[in-house]
This record gives sequence, C-alpha cells and structure tokens, in this order.
Amino acid sequence: MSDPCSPLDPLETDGLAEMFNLAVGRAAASLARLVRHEIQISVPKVRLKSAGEAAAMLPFAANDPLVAVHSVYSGGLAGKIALLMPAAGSLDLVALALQDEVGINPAEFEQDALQEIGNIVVNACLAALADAFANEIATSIPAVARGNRHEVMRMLAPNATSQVLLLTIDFNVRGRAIDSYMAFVLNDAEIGDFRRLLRLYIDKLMAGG
Amino acid sequence: MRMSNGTILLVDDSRVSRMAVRNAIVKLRPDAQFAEASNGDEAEVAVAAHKPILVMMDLNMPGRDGLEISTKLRSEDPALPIIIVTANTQDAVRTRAIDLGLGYLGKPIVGAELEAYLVKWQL
Repeated sequence: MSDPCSPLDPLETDGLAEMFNLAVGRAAASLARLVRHEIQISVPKVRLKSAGEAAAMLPFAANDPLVAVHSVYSGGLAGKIALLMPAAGSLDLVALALQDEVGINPAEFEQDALQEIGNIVVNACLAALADAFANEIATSIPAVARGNRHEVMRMLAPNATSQVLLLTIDFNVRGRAIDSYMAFVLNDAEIGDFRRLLRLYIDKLMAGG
Repeated sequence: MRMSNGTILLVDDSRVSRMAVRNAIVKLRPDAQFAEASNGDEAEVAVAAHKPILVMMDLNMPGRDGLEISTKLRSEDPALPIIIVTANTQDAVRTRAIDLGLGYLGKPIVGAELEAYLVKWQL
C-alpha cells in the first residue's frame, strides 16, 4: 500500500467494524465481570484524521477534565490505546470495581484501581485483535494521566499534524451515569502495518476462514 | 501431597489486583493465608521465607515478567503450583504459560476456573 493514510475503503471499514466488534465485545465482557453491571457499547467510530482534529473529535467538551489510562503496544501490531473517561465518573467506576472490599475508601485506591481497570479492558481488546490477526502483541504497563481532550491527545500523539487512526467506542455502565471511551492512536507506519494485517484478515473472512 | 493450610503468595505490582485475587480465593477458601510481593525480586524472597503452597503470579510487571519469574521459581521447586493471572488473554500467552506447566487465569478471575486449579492441586 503506497499511502498508509489514504481513505479507508468500504471493505476496510466493514472489516474494521467486524474486528472491533469482537475486540470491544471481549473488553466489555471483562469490564462487566469487574463491575458486575451490564456494559452497553456503541457502534465503533473509526476516523483517519490529524492528531489535532482527532482531539476535537473526542466526545468530551473542550475543557472537561478527563482520566486516561493508556498503554503502548508493540509486536505484530503497534500503537497506543487509551481508555478515556470524564474525571467526574471515574470514582464511581472505581467504587463499583471495589464493591467487595469492606471498609475501604475508594478514593484512596482510585489511581491503582483505574490502572487495573484500564489494564483489564485494554488488554482484553488487544488480545482479541492479536488473536484475530494471529500476531502476538506486547503491552506496556498502563499509566494513568489526567487532562482535557487536547492534553490527552498531545500525550498520545505529540505531533498535532501527524495522521492518527482514531477509533472511539462508548462503554456505558447500564443504569449508571458512567461513560468511558476507548481510543486507538496509530502513526503513519503503524497505520500501514495495521492496514496490511486488516487486508489479510478480510481475505481470510471472505475465504470462510 | 501438599499441606492445605499453607500460605498463598500473591505476586502483582498492582495492590488493587492483589486485593481482587485475594478476594477471589477467600470466597472459595475462607481460611486461606496470604503473603504478597510486588515484583520478581520480592517474590523470590517471599517464596524462600513462606514456602507457599500456591503462587498467583501476574504477567506484566516492571522488571522481569511473570513467566520469567515462574521459570526461575520452578527451577528451584519443580512441583510448586503457580497460576499466571493476567489481563493479557491472548491465545499465544495462554499457550506459553500452559506449555511451561503453569496454570492460567484471565482477569477478572472466574471463580469456577480458580476452583478447578485449587481442586487439581488439592488446595
């Protein structure tokens, strides 16, 4: 593929939707077990944009404080992945995850718990992708960062003009006002590798594999 | 046969994860006793000090990963029961753990899967 950042064709868009449905489904199942609530997930949205434009597309108001649990992955696939949520809802999510712990103050464990929640969710998603692509992925230990959507995007893609493949999915804890989003950020070379693997995955699907 | 009233060693750099693993075990074995370590070096010290009947080992930790630490521990005690407990649920990782003769549990832990290992190792 000569230009890794050429627009996604309809087949690629369909293939991405199918793959991310599997990946996000696995991540949602893990999160549901963790918080013991059903997780509703939206249809994934995939966009190929500059980092600056992608920041503006993150589904938060410009100055909303966010929490991002992010990880770098490498191997057969490479890029950055982040679980994003409004800072206001993060403690509720932590309280749900720690509901078995008697006599503790969730706020005291917020940072650790967010890191572990992010670890479980992003790894579940990446594992599904790795299995679909038959390529092993290594992941870094997740880190927790805070900032508005532009600050978070600068952390994920420091060069505002670089192209990123941004995928966002809304994870909603049913019955609770807790929304989080997952974002994948890939640079030019990573997009090229990803699209090559995506083509192989689509060919395999079309061959009935 | 191993004694059933020994220490279970929890190795994980996340204290929240150690709490979650401890809770999962306590639900099945309310009298279980625990020791904790947050990395490979601490795990080796804790194994020497406590002679655990089971090690619950995280995979992705700063420094050595759980498979490397487990391999080292197994070289010194080939019968030591070790379960890799990880959010990394890739088939390749699961296969590597099982090929090393280790148990494998994805996070969050499913009680029935943990129970199967406890029964297998008569714990």
